[in-house]
Amino acid sequence: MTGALRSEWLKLWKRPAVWILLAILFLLLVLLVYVLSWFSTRSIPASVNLGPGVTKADLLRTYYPQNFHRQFLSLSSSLGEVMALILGVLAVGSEYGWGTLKTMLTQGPGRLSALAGKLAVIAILLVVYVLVCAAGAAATSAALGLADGAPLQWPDSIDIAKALVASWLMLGWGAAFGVLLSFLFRQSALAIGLGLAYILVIEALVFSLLRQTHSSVVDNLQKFFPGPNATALTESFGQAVHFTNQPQALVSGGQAALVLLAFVAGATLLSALLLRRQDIV
Amino acid sequence: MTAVAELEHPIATSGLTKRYSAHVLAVDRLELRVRKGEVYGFLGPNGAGKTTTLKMLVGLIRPTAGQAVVAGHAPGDPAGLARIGCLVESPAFYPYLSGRDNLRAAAGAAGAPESRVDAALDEVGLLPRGKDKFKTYSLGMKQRLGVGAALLKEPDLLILDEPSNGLDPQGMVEMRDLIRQLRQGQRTVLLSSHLLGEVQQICDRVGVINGGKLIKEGTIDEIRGGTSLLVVAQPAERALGLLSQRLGDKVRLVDGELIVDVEPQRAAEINHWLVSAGIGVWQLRSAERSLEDVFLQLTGPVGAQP
Repeated sequence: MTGALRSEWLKLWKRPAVWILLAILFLLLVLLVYVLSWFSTRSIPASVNLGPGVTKADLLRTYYPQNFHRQFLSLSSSLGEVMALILGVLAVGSEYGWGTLKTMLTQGPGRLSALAGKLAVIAILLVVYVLVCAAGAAATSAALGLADGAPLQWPDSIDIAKALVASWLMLGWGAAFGVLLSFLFRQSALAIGLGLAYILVIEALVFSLLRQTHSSVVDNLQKFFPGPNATALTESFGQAVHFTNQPQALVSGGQAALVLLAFVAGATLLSALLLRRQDIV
Repeated sequence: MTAVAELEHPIATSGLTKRYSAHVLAVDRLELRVRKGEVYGFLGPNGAGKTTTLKMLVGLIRPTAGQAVVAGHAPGDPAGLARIGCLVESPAFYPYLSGRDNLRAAAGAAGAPESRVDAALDEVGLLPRGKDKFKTYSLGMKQRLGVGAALLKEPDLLILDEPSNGLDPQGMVEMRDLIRQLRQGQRTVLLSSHLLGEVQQICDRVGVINGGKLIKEGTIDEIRGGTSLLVVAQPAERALGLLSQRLGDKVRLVDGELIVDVEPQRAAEINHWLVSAGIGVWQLRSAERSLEDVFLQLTGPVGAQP
């Protein structure tokens, strides 16, 4: 197992694509989540009605340090999951594309040990992703706060720690899903395509259509899917701006975390079953 | 298969079968015995079932039926794989890693010490290029790196699948020399190939597979069959009559030449018979069948290959 871990670490740590993904995620966080959104908010004319009791200053507070954990969590539940899915696919799908799976398996680590090593390294890399994004969010929020002359207030350390774990869990689901799809399709292209379609479109579209039925069954059904639970987990850290008519959270943060954890475990189990039974042709 | 049989035969299969679909039977009840310390040539045309067999032996593919014992264990068992070095199909490595890092990754998976990496690179002559990325390697270097990966564990059993595939003539010679060097001590080598010259020069025994079946097995000489004498004599019809009287159906007339299926040591005797009868003897020499002749005879014409 330690040998498999050492092998997987070398392969993924030295893979440029792993760091390109992180760089893209980091840039999206800084530019999209912070700088462009902040600039756009600052540009709102005073005449625009932002909602009952909501001021432009309230909206700008979203980008200040007191909310940085909420900001990188919202990134994690959307683009973060996407990048993690691609990471998972790269880690497994490429092995099929290059034919390296057979090279590694014939070295003798055992299929489940090889998988365990790979998943462990992905989990460690996701810690790096989360920490880098959190640091980027903290630094950018501090810079924007200073630019606006706002006081630099930081969230409680326990809230930051919880947000880091929640972010890691969301990315973990994305990566586990990518790994599963790669084992299923034995290639990268289809795994990435279908994975992105599911995360970005299919789940949201299906529930958006079903919600029009106003059936309580749909609400209950959503509680068992990763997308709504990732959103619920993000919302469990509270809102930076309190709007009236804000919909109630689907489930509690704890329950959302458990559902995501179950999906990670399920995807891992299915991946193990697929790899164990597969012919590596 | 008993424990003794396993000691004598690092590779032993019994009824090994792989069926991919109702119409595709890749390997059909294969009975293979590779003896300890020998270089066994696994010969067959493309699509004969060689690679599928090798993949079953190293546990990449599960057999549909039958069983195999490889290095004393079931195929794919980590304990068995720890004693096997293999190169199956084309050498597959990570293009963004150097040759050395690729072997480091393989050594990690194998549980081999990192100190083996440079030793393996040295054995296959890649130490000077170890820092270069795999994607910059020539095909010959990639093949050698594949062999290097197979050597990381200092294995008792080497399984090499067409290691000379795609190499230029110089590369083929180097690969043959390398395989000869690898055959040290009690190491057993299973060499799959469709290159007859390679097999003829390296292997102790040969198994010929076609259509998924092992159709012939033995030493090169056994596979080629008994030697013959080729006689060119005039008049040929008289010579045929005379020799047929004395040797029966061991004599054939092919394209004006007589093929006499007897030991070459009888050449002087045959010459005496012919000359004494007033028949002119133009040529009298040993006529060995090449492995290529036998191979084509066993596997059929190229157009008929599966």
